[in-house]
Amino acid sequence: MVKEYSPVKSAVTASQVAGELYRASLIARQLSLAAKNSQAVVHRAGSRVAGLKVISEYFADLALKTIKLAEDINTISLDISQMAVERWRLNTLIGHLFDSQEKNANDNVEQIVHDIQTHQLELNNRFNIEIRKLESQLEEIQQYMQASRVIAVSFRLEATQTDEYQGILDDMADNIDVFSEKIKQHVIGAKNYIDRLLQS
Amino acid sequence: MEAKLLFDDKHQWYVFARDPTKPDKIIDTNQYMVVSGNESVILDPGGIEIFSSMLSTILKFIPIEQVTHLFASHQDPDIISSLGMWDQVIPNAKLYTPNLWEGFIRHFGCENIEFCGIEDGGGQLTIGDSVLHFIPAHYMHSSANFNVYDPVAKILFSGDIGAALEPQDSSLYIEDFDSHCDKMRFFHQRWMPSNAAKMNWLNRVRKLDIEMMLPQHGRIFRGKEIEQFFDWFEALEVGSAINS
Repeated sequence: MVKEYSPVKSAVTASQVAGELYRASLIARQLSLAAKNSQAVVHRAGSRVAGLKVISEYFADLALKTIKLAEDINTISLDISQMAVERWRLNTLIGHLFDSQEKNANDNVEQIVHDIQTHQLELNNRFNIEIRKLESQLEEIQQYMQASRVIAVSFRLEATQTDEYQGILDDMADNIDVFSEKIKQHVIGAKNYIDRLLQS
Repeated sequence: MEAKLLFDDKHQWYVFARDPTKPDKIIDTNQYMVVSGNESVILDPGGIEIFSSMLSTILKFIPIEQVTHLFASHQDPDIISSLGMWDQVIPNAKLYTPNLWEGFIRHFGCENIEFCGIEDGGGQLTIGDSVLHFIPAHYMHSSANFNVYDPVAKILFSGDIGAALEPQDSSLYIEDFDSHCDKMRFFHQRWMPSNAAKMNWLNRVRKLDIEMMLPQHGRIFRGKEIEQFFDWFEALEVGSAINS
């Protein structure tokens, strides 16, 4: 038996997750800009920071993937919210049909109730699949942010071996750290909303 | 759903519109939100079909606890048929709407939200540190109907007045007033019932200092387009269906 979560709570949770990921995607754009800047610096510095070339390319790729994933999560969240609202409307309808059945002591609405319940079940299964998908995508974005922080460490290490570019590379490492941490916090916020729903 | 910040000082005005996920055959609507401190009001929150898009879009900007008030300019379904859902999501909120429509609007479901009826003469609502004024716009088109005026932002939310019927992907702002009139004409001639009511409304709003006028359908008016609209509307004969 697939668990059924409150449609009201589900709609709000999905919207809250979309909100967190929207804010995360705005920061991911800044992260992407930082990645482009790092590529430009690496290009300018040439052989003096050769070790950073691969890392900065990886970083640029990671930033783009983060934006894409944040946008995908936003879309899934909206789908989940719409599904929750549909379940909500069906639940209300079922309640009214039962009332009508009771008031008129007849079984005329039985088939309608059956059809709606079948649809509800199908919606609920889809809802549960999507919410798990959302969870796994949030995990993925969190892993991206861990990788991003490793990149920041590499930038700092490389910076110690250059004179002219040390300040710039240190600043970049700081930016990467700050943006990654902010995104991580939004992802944690989103996961907390989902956890609260799943535990309800 | 597209979201834009229209005014940002000590308080903010947002517009939410052009929802690509809404069913094709329902009219496109513009929703607005005023945020001040820890409070906010959603102006004409919209129909049940766009509820999930609205909720998701609003929560991009403020947490759910901060949605404290709703305002419905009148009773139409595209304005407030989502009430039954908001009633579950923000049970401690207050709904400001014309008092005359209470018995009708409650059909959408209002068990938890506090119903605050606005008397015909209008009134005020304080959101955080901002005071919004309810300007009577009766019979424009609904028999009990209000606009919302913000004297600090110099914004008038005009509801159905200034509305235009346009494709889903049209711009949020008027680009050419003359060509825009073609998109507004039928709406105003057919939905607005009374020339006397029209003049009464024009006399009220011409006294206000307005920099932006926000209709519930169509495009936003800025600067001189507002006075152009007033002049155009004054010259337009409304209540056209009596000739059919």
